[in-house]
Amino acid sequence: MRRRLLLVAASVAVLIAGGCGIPDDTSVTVVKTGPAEGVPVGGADPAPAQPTRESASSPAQLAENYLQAAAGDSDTALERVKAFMSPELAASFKPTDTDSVRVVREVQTPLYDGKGTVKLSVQQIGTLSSDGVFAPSDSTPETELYELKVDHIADKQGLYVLSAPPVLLMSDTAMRDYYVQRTIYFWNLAYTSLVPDVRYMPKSLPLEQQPTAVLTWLTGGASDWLHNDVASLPSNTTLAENVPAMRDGTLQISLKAPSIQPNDGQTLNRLVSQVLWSLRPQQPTTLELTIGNRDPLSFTNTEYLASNKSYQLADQPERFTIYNGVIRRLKDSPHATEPVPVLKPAANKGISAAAMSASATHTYAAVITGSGAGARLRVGTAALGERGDLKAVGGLSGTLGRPIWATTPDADPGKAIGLITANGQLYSFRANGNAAQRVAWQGTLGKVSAVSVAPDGQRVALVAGGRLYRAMIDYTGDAPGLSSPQLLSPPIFNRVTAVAWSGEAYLAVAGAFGDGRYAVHEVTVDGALQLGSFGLSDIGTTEVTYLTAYPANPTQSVTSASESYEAGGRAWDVVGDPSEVTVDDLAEPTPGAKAGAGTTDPFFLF
Amino acid sequence: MPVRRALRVARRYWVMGMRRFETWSEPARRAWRRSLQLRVVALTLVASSLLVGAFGYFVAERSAKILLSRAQAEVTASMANKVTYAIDQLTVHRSDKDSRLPLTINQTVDRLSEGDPAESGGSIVSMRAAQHPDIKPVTSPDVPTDQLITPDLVKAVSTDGKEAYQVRTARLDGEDTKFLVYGSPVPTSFGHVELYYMVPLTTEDSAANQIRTTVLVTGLALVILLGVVAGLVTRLVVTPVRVAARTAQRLSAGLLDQRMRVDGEDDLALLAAAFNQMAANLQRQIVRLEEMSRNQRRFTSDVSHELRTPLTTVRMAADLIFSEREDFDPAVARSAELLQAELDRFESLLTDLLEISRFDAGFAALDAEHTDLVPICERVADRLAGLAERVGVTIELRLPDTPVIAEVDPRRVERILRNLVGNAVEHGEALPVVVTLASEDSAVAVTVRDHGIGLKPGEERLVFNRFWRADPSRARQTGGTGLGLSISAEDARLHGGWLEAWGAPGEGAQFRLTLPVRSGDRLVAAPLPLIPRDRAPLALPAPAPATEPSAGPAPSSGAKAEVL
Repeated sequence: MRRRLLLVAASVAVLIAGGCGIPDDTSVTVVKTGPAEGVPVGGADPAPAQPTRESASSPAQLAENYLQAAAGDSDTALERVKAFMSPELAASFKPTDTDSVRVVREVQTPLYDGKGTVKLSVQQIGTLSSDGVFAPSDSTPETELYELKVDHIADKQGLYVLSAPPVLLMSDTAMRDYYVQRTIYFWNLAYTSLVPDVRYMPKSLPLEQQPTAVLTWLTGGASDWLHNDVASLPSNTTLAENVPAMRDGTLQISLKAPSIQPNDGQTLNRLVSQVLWSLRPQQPTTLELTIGNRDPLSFTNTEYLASNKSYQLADQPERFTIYNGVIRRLKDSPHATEPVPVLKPAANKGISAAAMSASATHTYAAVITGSGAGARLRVGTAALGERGDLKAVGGLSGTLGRPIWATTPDADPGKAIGLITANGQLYSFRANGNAAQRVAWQGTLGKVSAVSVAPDGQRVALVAGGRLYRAMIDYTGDAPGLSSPQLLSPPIFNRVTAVAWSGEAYLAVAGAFGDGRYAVHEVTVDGALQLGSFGLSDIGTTEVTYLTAYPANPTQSVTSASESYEAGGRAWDVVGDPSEVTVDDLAEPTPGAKAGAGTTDPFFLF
Repeated sequence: MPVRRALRVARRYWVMGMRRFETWSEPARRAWRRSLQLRVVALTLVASSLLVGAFGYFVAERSAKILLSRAQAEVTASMANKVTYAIDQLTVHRSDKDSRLPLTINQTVDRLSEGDPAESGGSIVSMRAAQHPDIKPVTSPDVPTDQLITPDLVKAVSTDGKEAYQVRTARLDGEDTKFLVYGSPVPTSFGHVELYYMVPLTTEDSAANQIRTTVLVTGLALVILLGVVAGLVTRLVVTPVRVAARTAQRLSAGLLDQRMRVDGEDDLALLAAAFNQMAANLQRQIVRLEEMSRNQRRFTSDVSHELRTPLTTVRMAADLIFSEREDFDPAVARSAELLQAELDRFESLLTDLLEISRFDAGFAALDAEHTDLVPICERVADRLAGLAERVGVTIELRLPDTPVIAEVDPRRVERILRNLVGNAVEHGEALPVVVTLASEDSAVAVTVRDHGIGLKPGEERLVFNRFWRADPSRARQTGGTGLGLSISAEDARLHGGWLEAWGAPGEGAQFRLTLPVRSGDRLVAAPLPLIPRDRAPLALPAPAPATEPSAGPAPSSGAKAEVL
């Protein structure tokens, strides 16, 4: 009987122990239909097709195509280059630097010697790294010769590269054709304005991936030449994930930023402004920013636009010129009938050059009176619409160049700073009339003949010794300094004579070709590319001594529509063809003036 | 046929096995038959085990289901976020050839597996694309998922585009772990990839196990408790019943003064009291009846003895008168003759009465010895030859040629046979009487067949009653006392044998005496049939005879009776 009991107990135990509990394996249970298939993102501009190895009909063509292969997505650049190579070469091809591509300017078209070798005669103008930064070469490019061995190989169609220099090469035309310039922005150290940082984004990068790329660039820090004079993102800010494609105008960005305090609205606003400016031309109506695991913050307003000083640039600048030593407004420019700012009518005489700039509260003027050794720099400042006295600035001697206002802060006129060349040196002056101070930098340059400051007040373009440089102004010391100037090698010019900022990413450069004829061209801020469709390709043999431009508002255009230069002591406009600025263009009638008489020193109210 | 042989072998083994099992389980079965308590306890245990088992199964299964569905709901919710996140992350890729896609998948999987709440530690996130072979599966943490993500699930998720889940057990880090594997398609611009989220069910599993153990232990305890309670309750009832049974047994064994103990006032006490009362009444009745019976028997015996002495004197006087009857007046002589005859009858009646009272008093003793029955039969026939001749009956003996030796009391056997043959001759209606003797290993039988008026149905048992007559009005002409067959029946019983009668109206009667060859043996069968073989074949079947349950071969018709 005990056995029977045991049997019953055991069977009950087995029933409970084996029959229930969480099963080891179950069959598949369908919960519901999965999320709807994603709508394919609207195919925007299809990326331009790059020529392939197969499309080359001749060795020279192959070499041209080879120089374009590295353009595009940097992750797959090596693969594209290897696609041109014979299997043996592809297997052994190890470029010295895979993270960046050497950008070369072809001196002449590739030359095939008929015996299997194509000679490439190129100048290396810089390197393009995977984060889209183009770094110009340090020195004037030398012409280098590369050889490519090109031939057919057995059982395969078309030509192959059999041997190649162990570098990734890309022609500047490929850079022009397969990349688009994107400006990302960093705050200056005083957090008063955003400073643009030009990057090159492959056109093959889909629209949806562009925000991710931009954010990656931002978190990676500014380009080298800006790096010391702009603020990085709050420390340890990283982008850990993709920025999803914009949906209904909303862009969701998730950052890891442990150093941003949750209630630090100022830092957040700065970050948002920086990000929104950097995302342009993509303009989300709503930005959802998630910091770490916090709740997402939503930003919909457009206040961020003001954080870039270039945005404050007017569509139509106020234009001035000097006629007979008097600053005169030009007609067809805004406020043409109003008097000249700052200067009292009595002071408006004997002026040879001038610069004016306005902040939200004040207008600043810097004028050169006299000429030759007697030339003096005088500065004046006044509240908007008022007049002020001019003060002579000491500490300057020799031949004075044209002054320019570098920074004109709101509310505190004493902090406005301008730059001027004197005797081939660069000096800074202040609106309060203190003695000018020499602007120092590391390295040696030739005589500085022209200077132009970008609207952000940080970036400077210099012409020294006939060559073009760029640098950053360092406002942190007692006197403004410059970062070590970086040589730019714009195409075509043998000698550069004048420069002006034409836009955030472009410089208007005036210079002479080898045959001594002068031209004005728009070149990229790194000097790598020339904007072919803009500027004056030939304005004769008269030297362009001065060039000024009212930079484009980045929301409107990339290059300026208002450029003027002085050549042979006369003022000219750049409007398709050279067009002289004469007394007929002055706003007020000039009694007794000969019709068509020239004016000098055209300038804009910045 | 081999099949048939195999079947035979199997059948033999089956039979052997059953027999062995029966032998082995005999003690248990005996206990089962005999103990009410055991049966009640066992049935309680079985019933409660089934009940508790079913209930426990229900509770444990429900709780496991609840745990699982809760985990599944959590995973579904968590999965929705993960899928949304993955969809967002993958929006930036237009094609499965995108060189940054693997990076995105890696980042997404890492992020999804990091972003998990701590309590679901050990969960695994995997992203793969069955439809896009170029995309390598990515798992975080990087563990083999072959056991977890089954082709069925892949089919449901990837091919059918459903959200589906499955419970799987996988061996990770040397330990079997149950996982809830949840899969969902993640739509992208180039089709869809699949996201699998594998959450270990360790917590749920251990909770389910704990519940199961608790239910099991509780259930077992409950069953045992119920068994104990049933045992105790049954014991409360059974013990007095057993006492009553024992008491009743003792009572029936003759210990009439046995009584039950009466405790309290409950139903059992009532039973005990009623039982005791019944026992007392029975005892009184039995004692009274015994007393009456004893008095009656003693009276009969005493009367017989008391009558004997005067009878002897009367006998002697009658003998004297009888011997002198020729000297008397013929009428007186006739009276003397009558007196003599009636005295003979009276004397034999008295002898029979004394014999009967000896039987009644239990003084009759068997004086068994090995005896040949053939001479006894012949002697009886010889002795009755004169009577037979007078009534015109022939006695036919059918005896074996060899001696028939049995351990019997010859005097009593002779008395039985004399009685039977005498009766047959007397009622033989001048037709032959057949005496047949036959023997077997264990029994001998003698039948006496007559062809007289026979017996009416029911009379075959009455013939053995004392002073019974077939026709009470019939004058007692023949010398029988009415006690002969009673004494014969008692004699046969003393031998452990049977004395049976059969008869049918108009067909005569047959008596059969069956005796064991060895004294004290138990009879099982008789060598001769009770119903004669020479019975008229046209005779209609008699009404259903009152058969004795312990009788020998059942009669096909006619009346029969037996006396043991």
